[in-house]
Amino acid sequence: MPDEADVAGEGGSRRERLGRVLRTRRRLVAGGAAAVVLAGVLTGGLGAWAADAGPFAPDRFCWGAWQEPGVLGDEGRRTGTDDAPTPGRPHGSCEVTLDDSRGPSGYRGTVRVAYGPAPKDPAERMSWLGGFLFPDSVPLPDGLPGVVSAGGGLLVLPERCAAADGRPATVALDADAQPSLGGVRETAVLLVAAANRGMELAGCAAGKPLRVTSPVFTLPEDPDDGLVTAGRDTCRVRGLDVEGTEEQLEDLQPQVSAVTRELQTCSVSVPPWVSGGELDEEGELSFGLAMIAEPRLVSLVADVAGEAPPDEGWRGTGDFTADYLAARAECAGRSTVFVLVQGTDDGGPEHFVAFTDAVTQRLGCAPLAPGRSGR
Amino acid sequence: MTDERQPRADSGTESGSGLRPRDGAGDGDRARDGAGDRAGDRAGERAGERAGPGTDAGSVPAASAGSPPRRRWHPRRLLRGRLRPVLAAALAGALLGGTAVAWQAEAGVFAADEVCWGALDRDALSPLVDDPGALDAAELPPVSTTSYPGGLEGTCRLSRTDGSGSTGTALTARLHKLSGNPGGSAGEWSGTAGEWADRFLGGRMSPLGGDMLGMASDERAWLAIPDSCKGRPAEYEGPTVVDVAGPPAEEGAEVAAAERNALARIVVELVNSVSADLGCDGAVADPADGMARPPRPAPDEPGAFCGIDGLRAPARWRDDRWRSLVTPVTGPVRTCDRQYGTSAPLLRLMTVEDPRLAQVFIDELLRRGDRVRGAAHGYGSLRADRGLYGARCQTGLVVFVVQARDSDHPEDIRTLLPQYVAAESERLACGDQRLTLPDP
Repeated sequence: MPDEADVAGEGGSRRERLGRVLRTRRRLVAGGAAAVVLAGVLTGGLGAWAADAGPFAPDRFCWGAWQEPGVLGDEGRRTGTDDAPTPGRPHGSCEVTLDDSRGPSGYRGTVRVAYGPAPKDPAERMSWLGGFLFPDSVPLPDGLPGVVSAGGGLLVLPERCAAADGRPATVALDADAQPSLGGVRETAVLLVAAANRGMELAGCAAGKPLRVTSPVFTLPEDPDDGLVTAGRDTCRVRGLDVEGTEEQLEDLQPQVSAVTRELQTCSVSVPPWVSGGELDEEGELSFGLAMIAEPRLVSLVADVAGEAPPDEGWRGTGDFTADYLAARAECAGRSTVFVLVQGTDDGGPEHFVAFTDAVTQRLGCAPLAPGRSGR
Repeated sequence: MTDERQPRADSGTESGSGLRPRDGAGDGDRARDGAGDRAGDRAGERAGERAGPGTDAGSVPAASAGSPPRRRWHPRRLLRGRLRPVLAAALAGALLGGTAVAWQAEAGVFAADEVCWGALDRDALSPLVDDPGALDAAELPPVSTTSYPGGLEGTCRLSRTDGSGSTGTALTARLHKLSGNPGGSAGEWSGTAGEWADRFLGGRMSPLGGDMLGMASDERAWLAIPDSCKGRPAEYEGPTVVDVAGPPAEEGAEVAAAERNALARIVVELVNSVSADLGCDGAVADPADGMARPPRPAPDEPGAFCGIDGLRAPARWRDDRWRSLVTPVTGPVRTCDRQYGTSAPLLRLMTVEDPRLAQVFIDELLRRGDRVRGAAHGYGSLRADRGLYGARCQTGLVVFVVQARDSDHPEDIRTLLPQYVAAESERLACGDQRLTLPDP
């Protein structure tokens, strides 16, 4: 890196020296602009030809949300199932599978999209939500209500799309692909395209379609960086202590994704190389903890978090079961939900108390669990 | 894939903390938690066998020389014509690059209103300087560098030449990677990183807002390349940023909103241009309208030095003419600059809250000055004119800095650092951070 003194020189001789490394910019050539215009026209033309006038009719997948000749690559065998939502039956699903694992591209994988209300059964809903939150999802860009990772995402649709019983409608995408769909932002773009098309077909589209325009500014830290370990203060949450021998703890993989005022997650998984699963499988969840303050995401869990305190002395409302713990309270002026999704670990209540204590302190509100006010 | 994903040699076997002195011997020597070779093997397996989560996939810069982008499914293939204009724009960009030779050769016919890597409309400069159309541009377009893995650098300087041949710089823009370990220069203020922090993390700065890792004042602005473009920087690496410096403000002048907004827009334009060159999707929106009102110097409320409840400063820093200039909203850093009347800042209290930015201070924190120990996983360093302390908080590494302009009152640093760390770690829920200072 040339330091600034090198490029901020003054005077003629300095300038001459600089001339060797710096290019002095003056005027664009007319030809350049012409070429740009021509390129635009050409590309537009080519695209149109390819999409509409190609030798094959365009493939349509996921209710037409994604259409292009050569969905998921140009080679290999592509199959799909399609079950589009309608105004009368606002549920839909689709699945696109590509197998070119023996072909030149090496692509292999399946992308599934589901449109419809969140699962009705509370335990099922929490486990379903956990599947999207953990281990490494971050908030969708552009303030869109939902979460996304390289392998999938969940978007909560506006209230007008909700089911008759009030459950919010969602679009969920889940990719099992080798290589991946490309990255977090690429997955977000696919998810939002499916959401727009789904709303159109279900008859609840209104105004401008949802759009992803921004990049994703913050990705989760790499779990292999060793910034978090399982054991004491897991996920850097004070008091979140996971019991076990050194060997047992070593076999656990903690992951922190977002730590913002909208979302915070901490999950601990048993990686597939420990549990004996396939390497490209997700790890088996030991437990997952999340703080959610984004209003549409909160509405997904609001009814599960109950109307009464979850336990004696707790602030707010909630529900503690064998499968999940959920609590909801005002925190720094926002309705905030805390959840623990139980996997193979049985330390639930202690983990939940430690997590809610630490996160409420970070957000600047009173603790939820009783007996902590003195901290 | 990228170097960061390769298995690493494990030299550190201490348990518990992610914060520990780095052996100076080189990049392979990263200390990390965990189980030695086995964890390294896992990293290799993950990189090789598995479509990685979040951090790696899609983060290979398309423009990085020598490492072909990983083949992947691309949404453009999945989406219909609505993305076609984007495709056209990308092709146009390529062609633009191709014509660069002709353009550099001054065959130009129509006016170049864009300067600095083809990213800036000269009009963007009009709040900052008179007659931006008359500025000369000297540029080193963004290129990958071999100075560090995955590195990028570029420079652009806009200046005015008067009749006598002397020049005045109107704007200097740089693309570079911030590093906490510049090497050499033992005893310096984190080498270039410390100087960078002095200039770009001051009390005049306002966060760009949202989730952006960037700030702007009426003199300078900076913004990191988004994680979704080049990946999240690995541990011990700082972010890659574009920074810009415009004309300096008059001493004692309050932060001018129009100039600050202009610099915020300029840095965003430059980052968008670099991202597009790297083949990354997504453009950062104009941040100016969403930014907080610029900070204004104000006297402290009683008992709240620098606006921090319960923080008491040595009497020297407390008479009626002192003013605090404090970062107006939560962002990558919270800085408080203490100035006497309209003087330049004489004391700075700073909390670096973004863990990626905090890495910029890692060298100073772990290897310079006299050692400061903390009660909980923390480390720090102390010198006559500054004290630093790093703690592991829920968000990751947080660095607390107490910095005086001169070395005349080392006892003030000793008094302020533990108090400041205690008050700020309470705010950020970093836990009990009792410091043990080295003997004076």
